[in-house]
Amino acid sequence: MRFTFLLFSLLTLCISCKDSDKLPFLGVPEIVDGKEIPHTVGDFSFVNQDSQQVNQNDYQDQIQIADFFFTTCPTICPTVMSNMLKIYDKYQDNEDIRLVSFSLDPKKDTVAALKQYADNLEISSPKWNLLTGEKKKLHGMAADYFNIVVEDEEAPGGINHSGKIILVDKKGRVRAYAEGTDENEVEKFMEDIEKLLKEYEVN
Amino acid sequence: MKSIKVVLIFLLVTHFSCKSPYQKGENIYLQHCSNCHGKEGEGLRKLYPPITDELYEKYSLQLPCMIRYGLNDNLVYNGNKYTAAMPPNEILTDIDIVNLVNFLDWKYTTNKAFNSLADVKKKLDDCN
Repeated sequence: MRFTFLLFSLLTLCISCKDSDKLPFLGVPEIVDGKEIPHTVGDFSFVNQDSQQVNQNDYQDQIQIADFFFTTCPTICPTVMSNMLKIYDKYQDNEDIRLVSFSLDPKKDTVAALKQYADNLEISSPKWNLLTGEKKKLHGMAADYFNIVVEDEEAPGGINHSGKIILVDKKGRVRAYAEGTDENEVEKFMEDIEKLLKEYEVN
Repeated sequence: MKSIKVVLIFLLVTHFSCKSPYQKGENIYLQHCSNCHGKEGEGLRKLYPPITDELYEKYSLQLPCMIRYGLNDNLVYNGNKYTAAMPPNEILTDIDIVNLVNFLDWKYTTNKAFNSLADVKKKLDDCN
């Protein structure tokens, strides 16, 4: 009797361990026909630093690691970007992973400005797309990616925004995020990327 | 004799402890400068310049003005042209700038000069 109990508890422990290895689906799910459909990031069409059109279809079979920034942002952006660079360097040769940064200040962030920024960071498209386009649409994307943007004349650079780095799976579902300025959170986020990659190894 | 020992130990401890003697300046650096120039002054690739002894010497005279009013000119270092403008930091008071400059001098120069409030005020008055 005692033995069965032990076996049972070991089994549950095993299963629960396995479950915790899988990343959750984040965000408010949609209910369709009584079924929960996880939140997905919306469709978009923007231009990258090399003047190429980029839309959600470019990420159909890719894991996206996304953030929001603008090239003249003097506050959190450089720190977030230097953490994004760590991810870029680590997964340089991994075809499954793409980085994407949405500009929040398209008026200043022309294609030429993005190109210069990309060159200075020594990054290239399409591995890491810096995107610009219509301001309203760019700001609209932020909420999909769990970021908050407020135009604020008092804020340095005129835009107050959060610096979250978001992990999106191949089906556009948000699976993890980290405060891009927090080294410890980013370290944990790197582990989350590994977990997501494992999901695709199995299938 | 005893007091000499105490002084000696104190000197040894302060010499070897990694903490900067300019804590206020360091805090200002971490709050207002490290986002771009890095926690250890390493800079960010070709986007923002590092703070090195060599570069620091070159700009030390105009440093208080650069901190307060920013820099729009391109800065060239190690064959790389840094084109991003440095934003002004008008929120920093004269005393903040003295503390910051003293911290930077201590951290990034070999002679570790001390700047008095009067020195820095004079430089700030002469900004273009």
